[in-house]
Amino acid sequence: MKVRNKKIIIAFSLLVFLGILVPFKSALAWDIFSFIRDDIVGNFTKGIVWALSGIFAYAASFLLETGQSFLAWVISGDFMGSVSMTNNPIVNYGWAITRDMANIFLLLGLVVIGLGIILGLEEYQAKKTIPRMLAMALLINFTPVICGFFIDFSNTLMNYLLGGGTLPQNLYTVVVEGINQVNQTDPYSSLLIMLVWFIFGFAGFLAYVLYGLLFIFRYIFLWILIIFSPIAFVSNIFPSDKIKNFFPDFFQWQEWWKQFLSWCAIGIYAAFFILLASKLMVGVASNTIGISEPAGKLATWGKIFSYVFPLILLFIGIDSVKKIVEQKVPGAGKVMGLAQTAGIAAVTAGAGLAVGVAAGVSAGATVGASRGAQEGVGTLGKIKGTLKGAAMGGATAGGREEGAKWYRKTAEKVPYLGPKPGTYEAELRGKTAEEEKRLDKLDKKDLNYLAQDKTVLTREGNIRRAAALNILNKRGELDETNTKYVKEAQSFGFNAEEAAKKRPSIMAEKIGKNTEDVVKGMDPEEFRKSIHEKELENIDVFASMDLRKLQEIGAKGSSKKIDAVKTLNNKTVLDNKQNEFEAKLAAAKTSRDPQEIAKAQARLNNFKTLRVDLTGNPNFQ
Amino acid sequence: MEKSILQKFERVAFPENITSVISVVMEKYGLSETDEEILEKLSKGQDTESEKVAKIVKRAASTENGAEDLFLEIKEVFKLPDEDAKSFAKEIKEKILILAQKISEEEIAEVVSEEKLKSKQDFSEKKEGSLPKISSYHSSKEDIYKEPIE
Repeated sequence: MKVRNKKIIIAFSLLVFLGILVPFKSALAWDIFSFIRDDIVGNFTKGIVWALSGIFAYAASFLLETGQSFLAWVISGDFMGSVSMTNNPIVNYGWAITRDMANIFLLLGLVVIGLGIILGLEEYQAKKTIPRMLAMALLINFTPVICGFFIDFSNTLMNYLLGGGTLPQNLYTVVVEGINQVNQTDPYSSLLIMLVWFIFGFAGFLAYVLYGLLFIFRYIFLWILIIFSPIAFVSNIFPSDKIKNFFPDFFQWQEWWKQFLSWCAIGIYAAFFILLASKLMVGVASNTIGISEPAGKLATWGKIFSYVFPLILLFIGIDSVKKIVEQKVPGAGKVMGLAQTAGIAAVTAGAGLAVGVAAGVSAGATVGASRGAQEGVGTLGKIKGTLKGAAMGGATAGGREEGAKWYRKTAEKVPYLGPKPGTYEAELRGKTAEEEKRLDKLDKKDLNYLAQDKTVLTREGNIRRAAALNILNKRGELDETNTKYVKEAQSFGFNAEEAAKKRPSIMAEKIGKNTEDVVKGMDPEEFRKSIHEKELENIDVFASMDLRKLQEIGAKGSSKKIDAVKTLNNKTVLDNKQNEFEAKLAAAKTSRDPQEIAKAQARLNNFKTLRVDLTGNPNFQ
Repeated sequence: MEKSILQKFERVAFPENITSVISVVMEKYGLSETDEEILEKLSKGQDTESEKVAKIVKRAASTENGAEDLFLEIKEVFKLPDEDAKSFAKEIKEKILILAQKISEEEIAEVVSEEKLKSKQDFSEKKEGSLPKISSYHSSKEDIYKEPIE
């Protein structure tokens, strides 16, 4: 009975399930398999992706809101409650103790000066010291007032910059609204954008928290400085070289003032950067600040990237302030430095990921479209090619690496915050060089296998392939068969430019040049040293040389290279090439294009000069 | 039978401007040719005067006592009067053969490796903080920068 009931329930459930979904499909086009594949599985996956996008968006917004709220709280008047900077229980208690200590030091000072006068020690300069001592004895009782004056002055400036000591009330809301303008109907693009937004949100959170911490540090250090101000004032009556042995730097008159004024001023600098960044963020979000958005496939990323500017501004501010803090409080500077590094890394990773994928998608789409069109499959083929290319561009290690490279190179151009120029290349060169050392003992067969490995998918695999190609190039063993993946390997440290100098006839095209350009791009000495002897048997390479290069090979080249050139001293080969140049000149003359004529004439003249020298040069006999 | 003065892995090398030097000497004896004349002869498959001189110079520089037969060879090849042939041979000896140098493939390899040596030193400096001894570099059996010698 129970089994029968179960079957009925299952059948009923299935009918209900299908009953809900089936009406949405056309009766004619309805196909159960495509329905399950496209609608049930497809919609389920899309649902998950949308949900993930939502989670990232929420997390990013939450982080940004938390960071901004934290900073707003710290800089607001409520943070300290009704307690003022110079008049609170901690300061009052500590200051009373140090004031009493300062009075003891005053007495000690009197004793020292008295002894100085009795013993006739000039260095205590009693006449000068006594008035100063009296002034300090008076002033130490008013140090909170003096400190209060400077603190109030800096706070007034800070409050002016921060609009009454608070961040714009709607800052977070406006920024989130700005992000919402990035309207995406595709769940996968949306997920990617939200992932990048999350990373930016995290970096923004770090930046605001760092500023908040800085202001907290400022409160604490100013308290401490106020507490010790009587000691600093009294230290002024003693000769400085003696004082140094007794008071720590922090208590000394000059050092105290230096630190006190720095901590007062730090707030102003920080407030200035926060003000600029906030204005920029609100401006970007409300489209009142015209940071142009990229066109084409990067268009949807424009809004996200616009937020990089205020973030960078915040981090520059932190960096400037950090340098001042580091001089005063090494520990605090290090903590700020670590957090800053994490923030910059997050911004870098976010932008790198976004641009990497976007560039890959863009490059892939272009190639895909081009291949689709070449294959002659019409518009549909082109669209399919574009989509496949976009997917592959974003998905392949080469596509991503090109994107990452673009981003890293752009970041290197950023003054102050960006990595040193050439860092990307240096890192990649280092990795490829390490791999080269590891593979150096392999023979040509194994290296060829690695160089031609079409199953490479990972970054490591690509670096291995680039290293194999570099070794083959150093050994002069590059040929038509093992250079199939040169373009891909270039992104991973294969030095195709150098390889082209050695084997122009094979490599020039692969780097978008021709043999003539590569040969002409070298000076005679570089040409002699770089060129592989096999290339000197190539009539096109020979014809691309100039007289100085030929004479350099003759005078200083190895026997192999000279013998290679000698193989060309063949009437038929030289006549054919000369005829080719003469025909090109005739064609150019027909076209009546003066530039073409001049070029063709120059090539023919150069070839004749080479031929004459080759014949009469004893080095080639 | 002429005996070569060259050891294994050696060759005779003339400087880059050798064709100009030869051309100046040839001119004195009415043997000079313009480029067009040379190319015309080449297209007809004929030997050019400069090619003949180049061959004589190369042979004289690379064979034992090669310069001694120079007069007779010049007289025979260019059909010059004795006096002119003697004078031409003398000028070849004094102005052209004197420029010839025997160079070893090792030396050529060294020239190539000097540049690489610098980069190798830079690399070692960064890695180990000290420069390697050049002597140890030269004695290295696995010197990948030297051109292979056949």
